[in-house]
Amino acid sequence: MPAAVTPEREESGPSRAPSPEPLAPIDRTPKLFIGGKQVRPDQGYSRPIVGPEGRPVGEVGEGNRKDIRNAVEAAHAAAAWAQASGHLRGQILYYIAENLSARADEFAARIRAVTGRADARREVDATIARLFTYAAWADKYDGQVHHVPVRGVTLAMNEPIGVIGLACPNESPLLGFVSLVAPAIATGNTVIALPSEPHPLSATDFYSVLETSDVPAGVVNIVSGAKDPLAQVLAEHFDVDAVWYCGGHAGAAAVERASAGNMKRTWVLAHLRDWFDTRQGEGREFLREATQVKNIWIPYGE
Amino acid sequence: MKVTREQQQKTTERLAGASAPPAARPPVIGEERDVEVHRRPVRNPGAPLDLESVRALRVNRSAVERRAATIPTRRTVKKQWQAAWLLRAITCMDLTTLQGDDTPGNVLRLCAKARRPLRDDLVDALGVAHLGLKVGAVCVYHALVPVAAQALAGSGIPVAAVSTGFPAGLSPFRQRVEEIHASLEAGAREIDVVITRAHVLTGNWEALYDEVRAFREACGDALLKVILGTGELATLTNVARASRVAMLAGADFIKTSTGKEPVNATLPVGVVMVRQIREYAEDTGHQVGFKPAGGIRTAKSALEWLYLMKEELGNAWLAAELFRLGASALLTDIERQLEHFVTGRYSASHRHPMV
Repeated sequence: MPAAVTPEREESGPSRAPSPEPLAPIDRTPKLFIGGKQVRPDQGYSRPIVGPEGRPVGEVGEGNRKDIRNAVEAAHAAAAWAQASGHLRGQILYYIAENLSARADEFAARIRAVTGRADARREVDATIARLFTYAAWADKYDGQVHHVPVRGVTLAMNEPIGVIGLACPNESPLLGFVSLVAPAIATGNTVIALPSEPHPLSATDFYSVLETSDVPAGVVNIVSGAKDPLAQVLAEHFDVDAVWYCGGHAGAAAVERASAGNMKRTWVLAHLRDWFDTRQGEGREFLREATQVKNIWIPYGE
Repeated sequence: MKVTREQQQKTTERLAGASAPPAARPPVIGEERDVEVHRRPVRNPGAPLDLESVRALRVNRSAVERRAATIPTRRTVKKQWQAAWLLRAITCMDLTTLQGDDTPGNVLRLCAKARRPLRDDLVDALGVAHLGLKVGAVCVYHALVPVAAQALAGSGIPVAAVSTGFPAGLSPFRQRVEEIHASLEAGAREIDVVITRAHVLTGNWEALYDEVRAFREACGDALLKVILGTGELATLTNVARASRVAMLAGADFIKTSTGKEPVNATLPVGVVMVRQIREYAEDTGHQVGFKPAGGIRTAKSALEWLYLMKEELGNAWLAAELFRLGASALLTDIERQLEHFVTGRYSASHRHPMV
């Protein structure tokens, strides 16, 4: 509107010269990631996140039980992921790794800012390597043939469990997150991930990588907030098929207790792991926990 | 609204069980008041077709859309009030199966569900056993009416049959009327008819009026629900005019869709139809019912339709006599929500008997 133009701006003309000062960074509060969409938390609250010296480094959405409910619905709606071929799932995991690698510096800077650790770049590289590992596994963990003590064989098919709730480790905010998400989705599960409670910003940055990597909506859902209460809701939910929990003994015990009523499969990683170590942080142990075995008996005659 | 106000007053008292705060958990819903007994409103006898008033109807689409958009975005009823509203939604459901592969088996299953829509443990936990909760009706194709009628014998749940060449309504006229007679003979007590959409699209209101009049005569004592097929009527003005003509011709209910059109029951269409019902009640003093059908799958959307009825028409339209929800999968979602209310833990569909 011409009337609103101030004299100063008129002097500078319609094509203003860029200011010599760099723009101050624009505040951005990441949202939750549910059903392939960035959504505001149900209650509209956010929680402050502080850096290593107690300085605020940002905010994340405060998820509640209704956000978990919505995420579980979204994860079920994405059940077709289990029917996708292992090869396709592998290709998508490679694509995630590629897109993460293109933004490796940015992710490293974020990890450095929130944790104060100097080995941030090593964590990003380890994360990319982990994605490659599970991309390679995606079409190679489909089962085995067993000889049985009758005439015949059995096919032991590894099938995804379904919807898995993941309470991710607090340490290694990016690597720990991907170390749980990647094996679960590589084997065809859909997940609701609760990122590191003190350092959730790497996980919330990660959803823009997922968005650009052809990951179908609802396969990975991220709900930030207070980890233990949210894990409790997941454990009590009748439509969540398994819960993996990384964290303290009290939280782990609560998850196991809550799961007893609904016979849910749980996996609590109560001791601290070195996520950089490939023997502790990846491999068949994770794939086994992400799948259930269906035995098909094939008897044959003489 | 003068005519209906007195009745509304009474209904408000009956409904109080669903809207007054019970003391504390575990909640007892509708304990002191009988929420089941509703006086059937005087049947709409219809009125002569007044073409001028029909042609004069106009709908402001953007105003309607704005009104409709406010309904789902507001804060909803919570806790025990929500549970009570969901129970109310169950009593207003026309449990429906209209598939080409319907067999006596799945209709029997549907009828069993109609008699006991909630798991016994949930009924006990909610303290509503004395209400004898059941759905509004069971809606099937003609061929399955005898099966449903037999399965529901003694339950007080009526069988509704879709009729008159459902879903397109384009078979020969005499055959369509004959279909109504056949379904009534087979045991149906409610008839859902479809109109010839072409009459609406070409503005041939006399033909539409005569058609619905003939269906009404064929129905006799049975309840007549007129399906407008709003997804195929092109404009909201057409929806308003078709609603008006159907009511003038003696419809007991006007219903949005067959469930077979690409666009089913939407809130803007609902706003237009319920406002026509309101106007008709103001003009003639007769209450006509409303039945949204198609695409209503979640407990939340069922509540949205109930809000619409309460806000636009009043409490009288919150009972099965004047409001039905045509749905099937909806019931499972309502059960899940009620189980969450009882246990505090989210439920899964597979924990509830199939609809």
